[in-house]
Amino acid sequence: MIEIQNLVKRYGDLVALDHLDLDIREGEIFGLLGPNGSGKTTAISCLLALLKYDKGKISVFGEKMMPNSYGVKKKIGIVPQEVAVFGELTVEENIDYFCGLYIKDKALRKKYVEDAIQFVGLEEQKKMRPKQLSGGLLRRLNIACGIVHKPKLVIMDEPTVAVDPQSRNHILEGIQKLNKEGATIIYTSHYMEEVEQICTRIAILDHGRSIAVGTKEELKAMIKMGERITIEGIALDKEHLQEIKELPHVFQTEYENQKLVICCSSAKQNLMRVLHYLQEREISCGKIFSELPTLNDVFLEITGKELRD
Amino acid sequence: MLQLMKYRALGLFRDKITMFWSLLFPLILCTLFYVTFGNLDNHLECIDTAVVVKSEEKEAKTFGSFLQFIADSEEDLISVEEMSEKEAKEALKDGKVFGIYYVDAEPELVVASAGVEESILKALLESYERNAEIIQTVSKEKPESLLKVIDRISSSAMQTEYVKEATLGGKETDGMIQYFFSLIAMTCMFGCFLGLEAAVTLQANVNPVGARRCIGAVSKIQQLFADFIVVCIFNIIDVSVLLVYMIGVLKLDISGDMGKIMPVSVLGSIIGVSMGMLVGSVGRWKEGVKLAIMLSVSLGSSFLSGLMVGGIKGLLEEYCPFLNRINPASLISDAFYCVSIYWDSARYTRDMLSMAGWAVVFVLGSFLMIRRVRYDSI
Repeated sequence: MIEIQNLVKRYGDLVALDHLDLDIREGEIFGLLGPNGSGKTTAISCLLALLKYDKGKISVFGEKMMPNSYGVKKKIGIVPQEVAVFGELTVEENIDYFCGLYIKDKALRKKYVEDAIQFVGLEEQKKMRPKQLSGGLLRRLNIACGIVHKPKLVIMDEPTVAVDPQSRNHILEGIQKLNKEGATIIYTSHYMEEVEQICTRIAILDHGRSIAVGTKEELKAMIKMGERITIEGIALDKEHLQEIKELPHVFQTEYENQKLVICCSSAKQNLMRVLHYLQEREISCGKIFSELPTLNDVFLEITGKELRD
Repeated sequence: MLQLMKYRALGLFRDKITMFWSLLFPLILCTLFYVTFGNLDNHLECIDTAVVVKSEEKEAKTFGSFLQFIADSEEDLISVEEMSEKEAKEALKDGKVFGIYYVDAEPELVVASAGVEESILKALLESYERNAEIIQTVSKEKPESLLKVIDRISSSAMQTEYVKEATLGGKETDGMIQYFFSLIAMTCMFGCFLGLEAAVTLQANVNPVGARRCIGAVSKIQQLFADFIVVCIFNIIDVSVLLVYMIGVLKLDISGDMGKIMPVSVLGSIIGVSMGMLVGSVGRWKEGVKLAIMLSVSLGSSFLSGLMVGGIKGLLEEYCPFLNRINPASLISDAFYCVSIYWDSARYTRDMLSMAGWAVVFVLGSFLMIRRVRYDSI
């Protein structure tokens, strides 16, 4: 559906996109994950023919994307990072206005506007002006304006920034619902939990390059860590710490303020082995829990830095 | 297209800031002008004047009669008191009188300073001197008509010398009306802010709404055209309301053919809006910078058209007429002059053509700048 090949975009000496390659397939929720400044929004802007680029090829629905590719644009909906609506129009009027940029038929437009209002749950606020809405409701309006014409491809650029948890859940559920109804979604975010929750395939971007692409399982399989065991309220001396480090499949430990984090490679019985060791040495502890690796671990292991750095 | 226009119009009419600056501000300014200039006209105090009789000759007596007639007239322009020369000089020194008329064969006026009252006294004397021969002839040959002649001369003096001024075209007009014409021109020029907003909200690198509109399936030219039509209509309504207020409520004498006044308003509005659209379309500056540029241009052109300093347009006409030919605000106010004062159809046509030319340049310029553009950065 979307092919981006060898895309290069420079701002003077700064390379925003560094030979970026992406292949987005129909029907997926494709996550673009990366820290601020990694090139997510620049890639989207190039894709939409808003931004000039220095090198590379972009094709959308099999066509080269140009500013006057109105046929292709009809099939695309965008939810920009900033709320982009008219302050003097009501919720309903804003949605109708942006629908009018795609749909000429008045009756069809009316139906689509009603659907969009229902989809984002703004029925009670449809006669309100944007300034009367809370941050979360504004974001919902922003989404409604982007999806009202029922596009085949929806691009969402950090749609949950500065949104309360209730609205965030509503938005994430909505995205999954849109996808089930047949839309392909490109979702950019620096919130790894969200990407992990909804995306079927993920590209991790850093310094304008795609450093890893795959499903979350595939990405996690790329790294050494298979399990992270955290033990709180534990008192250890250097000898104990060294012995834990030497346990099978343990490749890294961190101990600070009576909290021990043990990183193990993928293997069975990791937690059991640690518990057995503590029991043998009669070492007491508070809370113990085990976690599977996150996308942050993937990012950390590949780039050597935290995703939110 | 109609749907896009409908919502743009709704947005404009609901925007309180836009409504204030486009509609209310010109009305307020107009009212302030009216009150200020009305005060100048209506609240001139009766001018206390000393009269020193130095001669009993017939010519001197005629001047004394003239002064007395003016003092007794309904306008209450001056009040005269006969004094000795010493008393008169003391009164002048103490500020009790504005001037001393010496009633002599050759009348004289002595004033202590320069001001409106002193100018009026001087104008009265000049008026008398210009007409002294007529008055003296009438007093000799037809003394019964003397009062009538003095009445005519004095009323002519009161109405023309210090209330009216000569225009560039050499015709006489109320000097204050030029402020109102400049105000109409300024209101037309204020359309530039609406044009600027229309252009800015179509630019992905300046405004988030612009980014969303840029990726819509309706071309940017069509969207800009829809906005242009709406904004022009809105500005024309603003100017029309101002005209109705001036003519209907304030009863200002903007005489002239409405069939010619309206085209000036329409073209003036178009030129204002299109100028704003061009500034909004050019460059990668932020919205605030573009707004500052627009504010400078609109106020600058209004200044040069005579909104702040009445005589500036005349000075430019004398020393740099080219500026008056290219300044949109000057063209607008000049076209109003042509309709209401000069009745100069050739000059009116020239102004209208110049305005139309600028409007075409501005509109085409902004359309060319904004079409199919891809930005270097967003």
